[in-house]
Amino acid sequence: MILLLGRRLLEAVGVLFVLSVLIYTIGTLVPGDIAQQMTGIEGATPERMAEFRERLGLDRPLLVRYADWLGDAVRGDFGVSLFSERDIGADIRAQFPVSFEIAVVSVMLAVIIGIPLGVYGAVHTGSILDRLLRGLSLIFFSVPTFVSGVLFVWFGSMFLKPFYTSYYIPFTEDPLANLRAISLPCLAIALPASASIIQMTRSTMISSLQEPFIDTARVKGVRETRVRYLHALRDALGPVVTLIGLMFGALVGGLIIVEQIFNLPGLGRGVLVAIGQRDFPYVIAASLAIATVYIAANLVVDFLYPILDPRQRDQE
Amino acid sequence: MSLVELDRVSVHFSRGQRRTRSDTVHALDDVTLTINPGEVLGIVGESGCGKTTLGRVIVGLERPTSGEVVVRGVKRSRNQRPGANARNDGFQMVYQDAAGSLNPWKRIGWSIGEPLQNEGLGKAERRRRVTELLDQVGLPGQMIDRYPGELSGGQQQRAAIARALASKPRLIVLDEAVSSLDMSTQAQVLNLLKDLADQHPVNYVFISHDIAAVDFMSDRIAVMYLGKIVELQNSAKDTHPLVHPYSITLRSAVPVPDPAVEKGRSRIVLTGPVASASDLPSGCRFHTRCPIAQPICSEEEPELTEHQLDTSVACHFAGEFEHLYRRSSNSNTQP
Amino acid sequence: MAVLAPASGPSVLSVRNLVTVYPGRDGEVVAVDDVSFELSPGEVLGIVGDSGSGKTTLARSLLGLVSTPGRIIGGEIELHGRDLLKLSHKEMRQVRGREIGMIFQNPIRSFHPGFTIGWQLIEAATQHANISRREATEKIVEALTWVGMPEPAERINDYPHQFSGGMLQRVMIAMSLLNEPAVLIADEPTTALDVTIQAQILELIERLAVDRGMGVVLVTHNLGMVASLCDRVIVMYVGQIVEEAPVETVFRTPAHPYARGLLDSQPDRSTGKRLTEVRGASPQMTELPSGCRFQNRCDYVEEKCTEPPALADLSHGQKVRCWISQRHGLLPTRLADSDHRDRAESTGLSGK
Repeated sequence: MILLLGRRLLEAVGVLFVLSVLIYTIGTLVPGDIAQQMTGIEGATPERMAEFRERLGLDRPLLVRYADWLGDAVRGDFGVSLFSERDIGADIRAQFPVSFEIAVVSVMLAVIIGIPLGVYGAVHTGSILDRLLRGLSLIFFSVPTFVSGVLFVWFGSMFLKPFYTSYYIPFTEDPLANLRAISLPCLAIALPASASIIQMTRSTMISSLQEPFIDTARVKGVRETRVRYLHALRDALGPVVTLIGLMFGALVGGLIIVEQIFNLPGLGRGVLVAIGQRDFPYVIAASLAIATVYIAANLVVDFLYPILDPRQRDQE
Repeated sequence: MSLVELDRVSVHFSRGQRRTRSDTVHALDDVTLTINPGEVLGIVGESGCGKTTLGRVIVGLERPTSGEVVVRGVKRSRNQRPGANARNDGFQMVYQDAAGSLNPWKRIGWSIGEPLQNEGLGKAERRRRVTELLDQVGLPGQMIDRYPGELSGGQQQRAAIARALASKPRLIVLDEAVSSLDMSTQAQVLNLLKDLADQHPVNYVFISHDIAAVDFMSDRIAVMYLGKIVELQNSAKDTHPLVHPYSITLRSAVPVPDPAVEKGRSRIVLTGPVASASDLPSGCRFHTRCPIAQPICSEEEPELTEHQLDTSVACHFAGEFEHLYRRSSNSNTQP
Repeated sequence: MAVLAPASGPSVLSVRNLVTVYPGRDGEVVAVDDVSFELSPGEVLGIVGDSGSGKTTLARSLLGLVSTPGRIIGGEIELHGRDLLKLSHKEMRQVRGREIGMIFQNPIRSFHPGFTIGWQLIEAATQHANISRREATEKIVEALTWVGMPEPAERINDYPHQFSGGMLQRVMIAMSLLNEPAVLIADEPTTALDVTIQAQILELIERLAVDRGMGVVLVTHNLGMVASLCDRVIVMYVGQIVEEAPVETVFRTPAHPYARGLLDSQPDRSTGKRLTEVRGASPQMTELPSGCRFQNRCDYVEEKCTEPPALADLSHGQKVRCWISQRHGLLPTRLADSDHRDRAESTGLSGK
């Protein structure tokens, strides 16, 4: 088993490397000439553009530039922003925790809301609450974040003043203020996310409850709550954990809209700004950070799976 | 000329990503077998003994890893797609799960008539043939427009048999064809199969774990254990009792539906560890469970050799079961 | 219906007029229709029938395991003089595992894949007894030894997928006897197993009844198992008991045409002739004929058969739900005429 997980880890590193090549290549080949854009402000003569390219090393072959960049990147040096000339590595290190915190809290919220309601739906299939939940899930799921986000801002600023701030304060500075700042954006993300967790939990739980081992537990005289929340839920959790892992991975990079709406200084907003400015060194670095989180989340799921299902441990 | 000849046929699967020895599944090992026209060959064995794989090789759905399959004197090409072999040779297979071999979204008539599509028959002619087939398998004509889900298990199996018969096959491999049917339906389908064999020039290979059904259906019986034929009886009728210790145990293990017999007999209950096709024991494959195993059994693999007229057995001590078993069970009971 | 007299000795389990229904598309389906029987300690009672005969629903009803939306709407299930149908959920839990144990058809799927065998057995052992983990472990190792598991103390840390189906069924039996219940319900316990393994499980069940005095309800479709294991047999057809009798009687002189048909349709290798068959198929629960439910398949059908027959006593503990045999008496089966001694010899080993 350890062998298997070790191999997964190596695979993840491999995937990350391939991704870095792809992201770097795409990032540099994106239309829009950065030299023209930068020099454009001061008047773009061909000489100035050439000089600018030389200064940034853009006249060298792609492969050389990539090797150079990779060498720096593994040391955490992603160069400076073409636009603001700030240290990209430092910027991302500042923005990343914001996005990460929002993603973690959102997913936690989604899990806290989703799993119990999913279990309830499975146990009381067809009940009024079950039908209500399924209807609500559909609504939460289909309303786009930019609509629900705006609604949350409006609702928060009108009725939930204590939970609404228009600026971000790091947790380390003032935990309470921090929670106030992120509670509404997190809820905006968690509601649609919990909708899919409810649906997944409900359906896997329904099939788990029909497994013969559930009968075995009942025949032993085990309490019904224990049958449901230990025996059935434990069995149903596998696919839910996978879903949560994927969700988390996707979230860190998918916060663009929410960060924009709630004015949060995260990675998503950073990327949005950088794309507008064709600041490709920043976009490349940020994309790589997002990809890393995604791969790491998958890796965690891979590690969790054999814990949840012992049958996985003996494979190979 | 024999219908099908298998010459030292083996089928090995590898599973997992590392091709180590323990990852190779010996589904079938060195099987040599002849099927003569007009006879029913019964294959009996427990799960994992390779009986289904053997059936698939015979029908042409599985390509042997090594060995030759000769159909009516012609060696089967190794380059053909497996399914094409079955079609060329006119062989069919009927499975345990009849519902699975009928398209649930199509009417029964369509499923039965599907093999006729290549024969260039008109629509009316095809429908007439399908009605005929339904009649032969004892299904009422109106079933032609029903969906598989509307039929009972026995009726579905009849429809599956009709479908297999449609292309006038020379051989049908029946893989556990009655095993999932109700008690009261099994006899109906077994009788149907016998009647059809009388009316059509068709051979059966009857594969089952149920030795009573195999006895009933077959002219010859092959007993399989872990990918090998351990006993081949060329006459299935009562005159020849089974000889291999595994065959004897298998028959002894099946309770007879007669309390007077059951209460008066002692059943042979195997105790040793069950080996698997991916982790074969040395020597005779049965020696880990054999009640009369001797030292040589774990060293040398016995060949299938003729023991007496019409009976071939792969056992070092063929014919000595009765004698050795009593001795070994007596010594066990002594303190 | 009259209260039935126990077959022999005081019964441990008495079922009276049990009715279990499932809501169907066209009204309620009566899966178990007015079933009554008695079970004595140490007795193995076979319940045989085709799929859809209600035998599994009956077995599950005894432990209150009828899954919603099905429900028991009438009757009594009396265990040690207590009606189980009147118990609260909590009291019923006390009965499960402690007074009635149950084993199922598919041993591999009857264990939770995520917990070790030991964990699952300990859960059963501690459910009704206030004992320490160590005592529980000792108890389960003892039970596993009894069912013949090699090296039980080590293997309790293994997960279900590391065992074979046959070994898991042994574990299942070990689990069911941890609290020494008086009754064991075995629902097709060997159907998913190979015949050589089936023989081992049969032997174990026999020992449960003989050595431990458990009353066993054995649900099966295998007449061979019934013959070898059961003392008494109930034959079910489309929800009803059609015949009940001591095992010898059923196999020698079955009174119901369905039971007779089943017995005669067993392949017999000594003849190799065409099998006698029960023609037709069981009616759907939703399209039951009025009167006898077997009438459309019966060779002896009469005018009277359009009226529903009652389950009536014949003699020697034999009961039958059939107008014909109630009036005309019995027809012997093929078995009754044949000489069984040579059959016994041809199985390889004759009696000792």
